[in-house]
Amino acid sequence: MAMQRYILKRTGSLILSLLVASLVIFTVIEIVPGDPASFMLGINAQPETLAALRAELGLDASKVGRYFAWVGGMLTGDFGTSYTYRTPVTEMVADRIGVSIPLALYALVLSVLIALPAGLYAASRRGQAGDLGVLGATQMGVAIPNFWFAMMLVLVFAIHWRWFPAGGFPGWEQGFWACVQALTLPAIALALPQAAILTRVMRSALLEVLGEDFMRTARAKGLSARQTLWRHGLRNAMIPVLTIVGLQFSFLFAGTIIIEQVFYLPGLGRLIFQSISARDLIVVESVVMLIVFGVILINFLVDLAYAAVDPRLRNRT
Amino acid sequence: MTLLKIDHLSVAIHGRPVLRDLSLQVAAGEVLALTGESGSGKSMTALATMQLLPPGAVTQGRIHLGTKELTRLSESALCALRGRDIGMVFQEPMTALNPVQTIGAQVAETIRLHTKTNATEARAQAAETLTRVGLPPDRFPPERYPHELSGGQRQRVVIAIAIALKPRLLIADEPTTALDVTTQAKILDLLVALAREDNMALILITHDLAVVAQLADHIAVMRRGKVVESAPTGQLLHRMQHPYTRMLFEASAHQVDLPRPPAPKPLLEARNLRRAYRLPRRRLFEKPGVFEAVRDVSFTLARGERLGLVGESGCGKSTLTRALLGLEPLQGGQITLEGAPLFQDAASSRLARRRMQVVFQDPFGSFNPRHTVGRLIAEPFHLLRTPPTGAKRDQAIAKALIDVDLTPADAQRYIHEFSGGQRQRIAIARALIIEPELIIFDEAVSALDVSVRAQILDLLAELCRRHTLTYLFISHDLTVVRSVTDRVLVMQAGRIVEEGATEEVFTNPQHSYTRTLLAAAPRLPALTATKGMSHEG
Repeated sequence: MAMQRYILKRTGSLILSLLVASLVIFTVIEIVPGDPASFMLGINAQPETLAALRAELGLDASKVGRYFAWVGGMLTGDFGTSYTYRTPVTEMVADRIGVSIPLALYALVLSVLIALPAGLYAASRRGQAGDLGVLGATQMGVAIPNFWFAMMLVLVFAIHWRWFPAGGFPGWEQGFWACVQALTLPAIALALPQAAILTRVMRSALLEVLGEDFMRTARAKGLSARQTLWRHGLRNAMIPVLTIVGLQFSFLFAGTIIIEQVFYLPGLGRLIFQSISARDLIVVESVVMLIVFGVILINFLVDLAYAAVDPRLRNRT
Repeated sequence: MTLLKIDHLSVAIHGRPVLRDLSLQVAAGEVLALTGESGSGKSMTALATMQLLPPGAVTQGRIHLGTKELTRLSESALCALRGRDIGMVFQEPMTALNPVQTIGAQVAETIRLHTKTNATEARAQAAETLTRVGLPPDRFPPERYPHELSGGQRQRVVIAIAIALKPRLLIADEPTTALDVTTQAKILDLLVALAREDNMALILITHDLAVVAQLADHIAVMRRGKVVESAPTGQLLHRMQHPYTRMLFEASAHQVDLPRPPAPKPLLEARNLRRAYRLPRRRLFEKPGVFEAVRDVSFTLARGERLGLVGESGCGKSTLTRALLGLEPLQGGQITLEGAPLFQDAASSRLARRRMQVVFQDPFGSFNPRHTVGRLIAEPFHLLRTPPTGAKRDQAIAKALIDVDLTPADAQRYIHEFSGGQRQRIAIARALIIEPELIIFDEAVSALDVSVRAQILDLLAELCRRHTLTYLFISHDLTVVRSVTDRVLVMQAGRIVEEGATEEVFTNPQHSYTRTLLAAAPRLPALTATKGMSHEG
């Protein structure tokens, strides 16, 4: 009952966030910098071309009307037509999303798979050599930018050993494994810095939980130190870890813009980069909205995960 | 038949001795009380018995439980022993349970860990144990989480975990220190009853001598890691061979001599104060409920009067205190200081803060550790229109420090260099420095050891003699309130249910709640004798 109410509340706040985000994006792109059509065509545009583009973009309608047309279009899957490519944005995005979302998720999974054991290992050996080793490695992971990792990975695994392709994406129709292979190096490059941060969060969260009174109660029951950590420590330590995982997803999305360039992947990051260069505001607007949607959705899922982990949150407003 | 025998036990943590040559024993069915002030090694004795000492601890000596020598057992043998042969109950019921597991699961875990029961059986046994400690499943389903229970109920769950397998030895470390008096009485009765029923040996660790005297068969008094005196209860209370034991009992019953208050002339008046909190909505579109923390509270505090405020946790005394200090918005009523309404605008709030000061409970958390004591004490000066500077400021700081029996040189030191009692003196100096008309003591002596508490109470009495001090003394400790106040307010569920001269209320309580409170508070049996002594001396 409490859980249902919690989900309902979170859903409400999800919808509200999306509404606010769409308003902000719409305002920033369409209203603030003057006339989008003249901005897209540059200063030397002919008046006729400008008028034609304005009509095509529907700029002659009122601002409120345009906002609703835009939102309504997105809700029905119509993101408009790209000005530079003359193809529906929906089609372009659909192609690219099949690269970017698997890449971000792959990186997220890798980062969690690296961070949880590493954090657990470091926390259980606090102050010992293993802990210091993990801390040192995470220090480097945080300090080194992901594109440098990307280049090193390419040098070692693609050029020297030829285990993975150095770049490009075969497309999902070429088979699952070929795609996973193409995404592995970029995902590792994206995941390493995030894993370093997450390891540190995991370690400190666990150390904090280790000092809690209920851990002592668990030891007094007769659980061994290891059992106490697994049965009582882990789930309590997950709460701060989840927060960071949620935040990281948006960083991963931003990170894909650079990584997709390095690995020549046809993803959303590349699309947005190209569209900004080509001043294709229709595409920029839609892709930004999609990314915002993705991030808000992930945070919604994190909120649900919180409540699943911590019963105290279910009754909160 | 001796069950636990601790023989010449010494423990040092990173080279610092915490227990020195300690010997104790307790028989099955016996209640041993371990008492002493903070840092005396009571909890360390418990942890040593559980063999759960912090890392860096070096143990010498022997601990026998029945035929087993605990300091020689392997970790896995100890794990098999903890929870099955020795159960332990801790001080902080609010944090002693895992917040993300149901109470039933936490009790069942002990059972499944040590016996070959399946999940269903373990759940049934857990429900049985919870019923035994007063949490029957029809009223307290085992599917509840700890945060859905009160402090006393949580402590019952911790006790259920400890006794689920009927251990031979139960150790309770300050099991009721964090609880209200009425809850304390019930929990203590429960612990002793369980110990008697199952013929367990019970080690009760507490700083509260009244509790000790009431429940224990045998008392051991500890100081600086040693047992200074140990005897059967009747004998110990009667003889008190060691001067430290006598000092402890005297300090617990310490009474101060307050000067007579001047003729009543109203200083602070509270009229029909009301503070309500909005509760979260139960359902969408439903009108949210309201929790009234303070309901229609009125009282007058005369200049030079020492007023007490007692009540259990959640009764609204903290909210009322915060409202008086302007830290909590009121939904109704008015606070006036000598007829002038307070907290109406910025100017009247500032004036109120200048004329009222507060001393809080926690002597460790209420100071900025990076400021010198001089700077900490001089903090309230910013409330003055023309704060003293230079030599005048230093003089004022020195005077405030001397007032609380510290030295002017202490102004240069930092707060971590002082003990808990000294910090509370510094807090009082900070409150005194701008010569406020009213000081609010919010559980100001509750965190202190009895001997230190007695000294601080004496200091208060002395300050009352030197200055005409007016204060509101908020405490859950009835003995202390009785000693340092002229008049007392008893608060329950947001209302003041009884009000009167302190002695009158304590000797002849009118309201049933006051009677319950007084009856639940443990009494020192030697109270009358020691009280008489200190009055003469």
